[in-house]
Amino acid sequence: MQKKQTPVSKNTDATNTKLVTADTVYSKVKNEIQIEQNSSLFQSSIADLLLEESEIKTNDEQQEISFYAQKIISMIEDAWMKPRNIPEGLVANLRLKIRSSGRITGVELLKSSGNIRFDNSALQAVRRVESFNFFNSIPKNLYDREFKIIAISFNPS
Amino acid sequence: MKKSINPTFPLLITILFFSACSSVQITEEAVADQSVAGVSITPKSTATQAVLANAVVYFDYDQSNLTAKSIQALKGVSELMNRNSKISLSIEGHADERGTREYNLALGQRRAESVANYLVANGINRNRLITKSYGEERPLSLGSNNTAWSKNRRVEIK
Amino acid sequence: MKKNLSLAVLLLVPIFSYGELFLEITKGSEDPYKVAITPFTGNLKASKQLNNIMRNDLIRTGEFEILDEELLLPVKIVNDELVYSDWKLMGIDYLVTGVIINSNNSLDINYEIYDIHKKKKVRTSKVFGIPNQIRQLAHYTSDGIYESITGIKGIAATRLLYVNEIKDSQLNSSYKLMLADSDGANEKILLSSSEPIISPSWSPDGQRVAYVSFETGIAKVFIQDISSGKREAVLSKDSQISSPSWSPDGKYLSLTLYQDGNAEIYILRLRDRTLTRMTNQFAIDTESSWSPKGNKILFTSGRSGSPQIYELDLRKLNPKAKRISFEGTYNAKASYLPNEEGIIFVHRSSDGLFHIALKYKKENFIRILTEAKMDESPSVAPNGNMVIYGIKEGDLSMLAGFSLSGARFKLPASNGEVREPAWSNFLR
Repeated sequence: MQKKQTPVSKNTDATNTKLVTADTVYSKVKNEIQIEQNSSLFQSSIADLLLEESEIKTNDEQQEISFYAQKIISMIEDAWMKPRNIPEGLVANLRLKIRSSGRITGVELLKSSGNIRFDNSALQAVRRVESFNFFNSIPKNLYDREFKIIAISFNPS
Repeated sequence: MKKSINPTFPLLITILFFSACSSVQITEEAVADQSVAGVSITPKSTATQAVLANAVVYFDYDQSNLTAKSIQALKGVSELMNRNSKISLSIEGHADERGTREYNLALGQRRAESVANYLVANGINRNRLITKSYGEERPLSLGSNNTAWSKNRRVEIK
Repeated sequence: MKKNLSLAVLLLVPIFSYGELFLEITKGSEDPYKVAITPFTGNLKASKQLNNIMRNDLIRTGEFEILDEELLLPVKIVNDELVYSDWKLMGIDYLVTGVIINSNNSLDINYEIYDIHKKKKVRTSKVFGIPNQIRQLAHYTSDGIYESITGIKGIAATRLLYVNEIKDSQLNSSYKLMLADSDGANEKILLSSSEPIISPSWSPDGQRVAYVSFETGIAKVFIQDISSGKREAVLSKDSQISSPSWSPDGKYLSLTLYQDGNAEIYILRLRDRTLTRMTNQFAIDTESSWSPKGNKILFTSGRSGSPQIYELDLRKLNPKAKRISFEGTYNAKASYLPNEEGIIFVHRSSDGLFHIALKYKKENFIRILTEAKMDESPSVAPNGNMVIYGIKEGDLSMLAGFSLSGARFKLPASNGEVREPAWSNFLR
């Protein structure tokens, strides 16, 4: 991802000092105002920059979350045995509690599909996975915020 | 009349503690005579029997309507009935083995009714006729092929 | 900036409001639970038999893969805890161990189920019985194991009714109404006759049977008590009656009568033998069967020009039959799945062959589940996961079955031919 750069307006004559005359006062005041304006411009640009930075950080984070989410989905898909002859359109939702080591410590059926075999297959998939070995590479604060408790939807259609 | 067979099965011996069950045997005496709905079927002379034996009516697959051929077969029966007002008939419908048993039982009945309706339309009193069905239970021809099946889709008149 | 962050969270969490990460799984493959059953200790002979029966019961469900005996490891207990690692390495999901306690007047089984993934014992159970009841005990144990692992009630301890026909050397037939365990063992004869017997139907409490017998020369429905053998014709009328089906509360029997010469459906109240007519039109109406809650009836009707499945809502004052099968020119003998999610029935495909089919209520297409040529009379197991039906192999009729999860089994006759199976309700 590219870092966005906004041009920062540069201050020019803030440091120049001149003889104080009416003109100079006026020009000084003018300058001061300009400095004010410039500095507030400067400040707002800093603010923009900071905003930019946090946006960049969010986009990065989003990517990271996506990356690990995809790994989780992959591991579960590999372990999921979809039962035969079940009606279409079934959806089962599970909630998982996961340790920072990646070990799944709790599974809960949040929303039953209405078909026991289908629900069982979802629970069985999670049981078989047991642990996500890549969790060690997830930064702690990201894990705390996003991956400690996750919800999974089994939705074959 | 068919003799009933006394079965011996080696597996039958043990009586389970929790699941007692009793076996019932239908003996010859239990098989009632062929009277249905208050009409008794008259005994028939050999000549009559011969006419009726020839009057087997056949049907197309899934169908219960009379074909031109079957109407021909029934002409003799019609005449017989009109000549001799004492004769009553048992009209028995059958089906081939394909499809479900109960639906075939009902189909056999429809076939029997078709024949009965034809005779009634030819002036014969309905209360001289009994209709019944054996569905696919009494095939004439054993076998799972078109020939056997076509022989079994029939109505017999007795 | 906060706005952007929460937007990101929202994108990942479309439904949940607690900010949980929410993922969607869309594909998977198929596989049963892998279970190891070690030979139960205590009585070598009984143990072998028990193991065989349980193995067959569980494999037949299609949802279990039982580890071959040769591959079993010794069960290692260290500090009162099962050593799970070896089983884990073999890919086992659950381990079952047990003890047979045999005394003069009792035969009990204690068994335990270990969850290899969770690394803990999840069930301890005891089945009480008496000697000579090893088969029944084995079935109860199988059901206990099945239910602990799947959460679904097992059907190993249920029973089957079916009709047996034997032809002698002169091709004269004799018929028997048979009763057996769900695996075909323990056959018992309920009725012997020289005339055809068809359409056996279980009472919901498993104590009585209704069936059609031709012993009087025409089709008539009889009810027979299984333990005493006492039987009676349901109606004293002299007309043909067939296709009996018990209501789930056991108080009614739906029947087919031919009073106007045309097959029509009636409901008989057993208490006082009053009849209520349910259909009245020119075509065949037969093969009625009740919904699990007893408020609807399925039946086969030819009123559209070919046999199709119809449904009647009994709660309505003047119920109108609603057609529910639209694919193909022959759909018959339907019965509901116990959860009413769909129906099982006989379907004739465009090549003229008959198969057992399944149609889910919320889908508008049918699923064909069998592939022989003349499959007929399906009956659904009370847990809705298995179906038994009749097939013809060569010239011989026999019973076959499948689980919705894809397992198959066959039950050939011990003598002659067998057909028209009916699966009992749960019996305990």
